[in-house]
Amino acid sequence: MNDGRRLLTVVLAGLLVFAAAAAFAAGGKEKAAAAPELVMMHDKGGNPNYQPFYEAMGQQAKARVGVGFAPTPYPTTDVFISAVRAALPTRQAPDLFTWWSTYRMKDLIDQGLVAETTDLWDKHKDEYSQGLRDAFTFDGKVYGLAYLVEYWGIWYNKEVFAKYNLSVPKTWAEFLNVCDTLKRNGVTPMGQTVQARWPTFILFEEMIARESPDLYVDLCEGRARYTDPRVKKAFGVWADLIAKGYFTDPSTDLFSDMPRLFNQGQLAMVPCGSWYMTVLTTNGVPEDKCGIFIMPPHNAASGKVAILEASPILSSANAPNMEAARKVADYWMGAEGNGFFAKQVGQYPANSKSDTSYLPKVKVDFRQMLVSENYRILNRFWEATPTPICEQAVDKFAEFILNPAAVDRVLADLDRIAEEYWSKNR
Amino acid sequence: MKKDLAVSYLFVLPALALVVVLLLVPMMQNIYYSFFDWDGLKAPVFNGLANYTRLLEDRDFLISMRNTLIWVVFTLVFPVLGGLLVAVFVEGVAGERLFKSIFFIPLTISFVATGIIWTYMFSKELGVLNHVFRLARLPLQPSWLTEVPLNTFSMLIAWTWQQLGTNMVMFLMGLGTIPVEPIEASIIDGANKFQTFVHVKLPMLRPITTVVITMAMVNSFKAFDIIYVMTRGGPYRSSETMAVTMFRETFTLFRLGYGAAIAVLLSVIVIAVSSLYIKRMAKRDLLYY
Repeated sequence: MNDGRRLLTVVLAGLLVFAAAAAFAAGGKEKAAAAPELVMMHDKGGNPNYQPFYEAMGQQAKARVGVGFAPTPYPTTDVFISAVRAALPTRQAPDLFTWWSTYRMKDLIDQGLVAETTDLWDKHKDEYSQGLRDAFTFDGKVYGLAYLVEYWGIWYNKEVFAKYNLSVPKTWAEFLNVCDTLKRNGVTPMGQTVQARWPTFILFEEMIARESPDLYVDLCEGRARYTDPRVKKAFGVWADLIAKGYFTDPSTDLFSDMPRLFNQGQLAMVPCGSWYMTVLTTNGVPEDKCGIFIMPPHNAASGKVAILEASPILSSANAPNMEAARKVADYWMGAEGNGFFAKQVGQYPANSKSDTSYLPKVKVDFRQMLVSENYRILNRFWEATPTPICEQAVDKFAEFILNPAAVDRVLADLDRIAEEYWSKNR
Repeated sequence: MKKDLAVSYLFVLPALALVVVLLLVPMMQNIYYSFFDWDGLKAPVFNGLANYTRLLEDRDFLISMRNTLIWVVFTLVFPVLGGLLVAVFVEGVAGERLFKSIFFIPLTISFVATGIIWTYMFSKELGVLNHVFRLARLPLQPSWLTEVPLNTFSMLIAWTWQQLGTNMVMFLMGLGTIPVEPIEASIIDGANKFQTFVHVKLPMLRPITTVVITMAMVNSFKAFDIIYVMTRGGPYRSSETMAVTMFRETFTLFRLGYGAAIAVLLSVIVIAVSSLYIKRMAKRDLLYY
C-alpha cells in the first residue's frame, strides 16, 4: 500500500467512526422526541435508599398522566448537591430534583434556576396549609412542590422503657430521670453522632429551641449572636448531658449502628426526624417497639415547640421538558400523587387531603398530638439558616460534642462564621 | 518521508485532542478561576491573589497541610518500607506464591470498599478491634475515627493494609531482575544475607525504588477516597488532607475559587517534589552505572 492510499484509509476510517456516532446520536434524538422521559435527580441513593420508591412514583405518574421519569440516585448529599448545582445552569438541567426548603432553595431561586409553580399551588390551595405554602414562597412567588413533611422528635424503645418502668417524660426533670435510670441499668440513653457531619445539628436545635424558640429563629436568621448568654446556657445543658454519659460514642453511625443497638435494647432513644421510623423498621426493628415523643423543654418558658422538615421537589428553570415536568409536578401535588409516594416511604404526605390510613398508629398519634396541643412549628436548622453558615456550623458542633470544654472557642468561631455571612448578605 | 510524518501526526491527533480537551483546558480553567471569588452560581468576581494569601491564614488549611505531610511520611515508612521488607522475606521461601497473594489481595478491593470495611472494624462499640481488646481484657477502647489525631493514623493503617501489596509486587519484580553474579560474588567475599541485601541488592533496586517512592508520594499527596469514606475529613475538619480540603471547599462550601487555588498549590507541590526526586535519583543512577 502506498502512502496516499494509507492516508486515504485513515481518513475514511475516521469519517466512518464520526458517521456512526452521528447516526447513533440522531437515533437517540428521534427516540427522545417520540417518548420524552424526564430526568429526576435525588439525594437518597445511599442510606436511606429511596430509589425503588422514586421508580414506583415515575411509573405511577406515567400510568396516570402519561409522563414518567427516571430517577437518578446519588449516594451522598454533598456529591448530589454539587451535581445539581453544576447541571442547573446548563441545557442538561434535570427536569425535576429533590432539594431542601427555605435558605437551601433561596440560593438557587436568586439565580433564576428554579421554575415557578405559583399556579399549581393556587390550583391545589385547599389541599395545603398556608404555613407550608409560605415556606416555599419567595418574593410573592411559589416554587417547587412539597412532597413530604416530617417532624423531629425522640424515637424511643418501648420495650426498654417498659422493662425499667419508665414513661414518656413530660418535664425536663422527668427526662433526666429517664436518662439516669437507663444509664444505671447499663443502657445508653440517647444516640448522638459526629459521623456524616450533618447529624451534629440535631441536638443543637433541640437545645436552642427548648431554651427559646424566638432565640432559635433569631439565631438562624442573623438577628441573634452565637455568643448570646442564652446560647451559652443551652450549650451548658447539652454539655451536662454529655458529661453524665447519656449519649452513645460520637463515632456511632446513625443509620447502621444505632438501629442495631436500638433493636438489641442497648440504646433507648434516638433524636431524629419522624422518617427515622423507616430506618428503624428496615433495619429489623419491629414497629411495635417504636415510640416517639417531643423532648421536654429544659427552659419551661420555651413552651411547646416542634421542628418541621418539609421536603421539596423542584423543577429546573432550564428543564428540557418543562411542560411534561409541570404535568408530573401537578400530579405529585394532588391528593392521589402525594399520597402515593408518601405511602411508599411510610411518611406524612404534605397534601392535607391525601389518604393517610397506611401510617402506623405511632405516627398518626404523634401528628395528632402536635396539632391538638398547638405546638409551635420551627423550621429545621439545615434549611432555616443560610447554607454557608450551616455547612461550617455542623463541624463546630462536632468539635463541641467531642470536646465540650471548648465551648467558648466553638461559640466564638460560630459567631465569626455567621458574622462573615451576614455582613455581606444582610 | 513527509507523508509518513503527516500520517503519524494524524494518528497522534485523537490522543492529543483528548489530552487538550480533557486535561489541559480544565487545568488552565482551574488556574484561571483560582484568581476569582466564585460560588458556582453567581458571576465570578476577580480577587487577584486573595485566594492564595488566604491559604496562609486559614487554620483548617494549615491542619490539612500538616495531615498531608503525615500521610506522605507515613506512606514512605510503612507501605513502601514494609513492602520492601515483605518482598525480601517472601522472595524464594516455600509458599512464596501464597504469601504474595495474601499481601496482594487487599489491592484488588476498591478504596471505597476498603474504607467501609475498616470503618466497621474501627467502630468503637461494634468494631472487631475493640472487641479483641475487650476479649484480651485490655483497658483500651479507643474511638479510632473520632479521636484527634488518632483518626489520621487509623486511616493510615487501612491505607497501609491496601498499599503494601502493590509495593511488594513492584519490589519483587525488581529483585527478580537482579543478576545472580554480584550476589554470588558478595557471598564468596564473605558477606552475610543482611550485608548482601544492604550493599548489593538495595543499590541495584534503585530504579524500581525510584518508581515506587515516586508513585507512593504522588498517591499519598492526593489521598482522598479512603478519607472521604471513613471520616469525610472530620470530625471538625481534623483529618482532612489537601485533596479533601480542596473537595470540601469546592463542593461543600462552594468556594470554587479558593478550592481551585488549593488544587493549583497541590499540583505544584506534587510536580515539584516528584520531579526533583526523579531528577536526583536519575543523576545518582548515572553515577552508579
